[in-house]
Parts: sequence; structure tokens; C-alpha cells
Amino acid sequence: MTPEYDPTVIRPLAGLSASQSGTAERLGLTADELKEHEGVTSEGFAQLLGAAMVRYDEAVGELSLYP
Amino acid sequence: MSGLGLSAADLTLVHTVAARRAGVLPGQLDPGQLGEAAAWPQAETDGVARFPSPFTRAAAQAEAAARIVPRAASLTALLALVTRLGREGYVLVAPQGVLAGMVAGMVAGRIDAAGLGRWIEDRAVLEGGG
Repeated sequence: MTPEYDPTVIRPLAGLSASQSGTAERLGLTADELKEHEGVTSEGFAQLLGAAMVRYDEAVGELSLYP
Repeated sequence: MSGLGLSAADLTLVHTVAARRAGVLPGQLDPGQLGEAAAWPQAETDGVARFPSPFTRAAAQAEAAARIVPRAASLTALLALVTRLGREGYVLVAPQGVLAGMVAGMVAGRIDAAGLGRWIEDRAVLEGGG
């Protein structure tokens, strides 16, 4: 039986935990790209960068227009 | 490298994300320059740290990152700055339009890294510390 679709439920990207999936979304990366970077970056850095994208979203948005 | 610093791979991710967010292709980064940029905030002269505070190190990280990327330099610098500061336990409490302007000014050469470091010092607070 197919479960009913619920648009309020956020499902993680294939192969990622819910936390990783949120990080990938914040960074604009695919699951594979995030996993590739996480394999070489320092521990927790992708999560730190993802949190910074949210915390400083207005500054990021402004410099996205004038990068 | 200090455990609080960014690695060359961290800077590569910063630039990749910045370029993607800005809608441009990330530049091909030179591994040697990446390593130098990652190490720059920890630089010493005669055994004395050139950037002795978290704030000057964040500014130095931003300046070094901007110098080695061919595009999306301001956004790369901003993300390098705030992640470096975050690694040291600080967040910035400042109007974000002003923050963007300060970083863009540094990248354009209107503000030097020392000036940016002083500006950061006046507006950084320990995360969770109020």
C-alpha cells in the first residue's frame, strides 16, 4: 500500500540523514556533492557553513547579487 | 594549523557554495594558494602571531580567501569570515547590509583587513553568550 503524500513532511535526500539533507539544501549542493566535500573538509565544517548561510542570509543574499 | 582554522578543503567548499549561490561557475583554485590562504590567519613573524585575536584572524581569512578566487570573491570572503569566526565561537551582531558592505569594501580595496578586524571586534559576541 502506498503511503499518502504529506507535503508537510520533509524527507531526507537519498543516502543522507535528515541533518545532512538540511545542510545540502542550505549549501545548494546535491547529496553526492555534499558527501564528496564532507569526505575532505574538517569535521563539522559543512554544518557550520550551512548554519552561516542561514544566520547571515541577508548579507549572503546581497553579495549574491554583487558577488 | 590551529584546530580553529579553516583547511584548504574548507575554503574550496566555501568558494563552491559562494559561486553556486551567485550563479557563476566556481573558479579552478590552485592547491598551493589554497594552502597558503588557509594558513594565513595563523602566520607568525619572529614567533609572534600576526593576527593575535579571533577578529583579526577572521578578517585575515576573508582577505586571503578573496585574493585567491577568480570570481564570487566578496561572497567567498564573507563566508570565510563568518565560518572562521564561528569556529572560534563568535557570531556577528550587526546589520547585515552593513556587514555585506564592509566585506565588499575590503575586497574592493577601500577597507584594509586591520580595519575590518577592528569593526568585527566591536560587533562580535560569543555564540550563546548574549
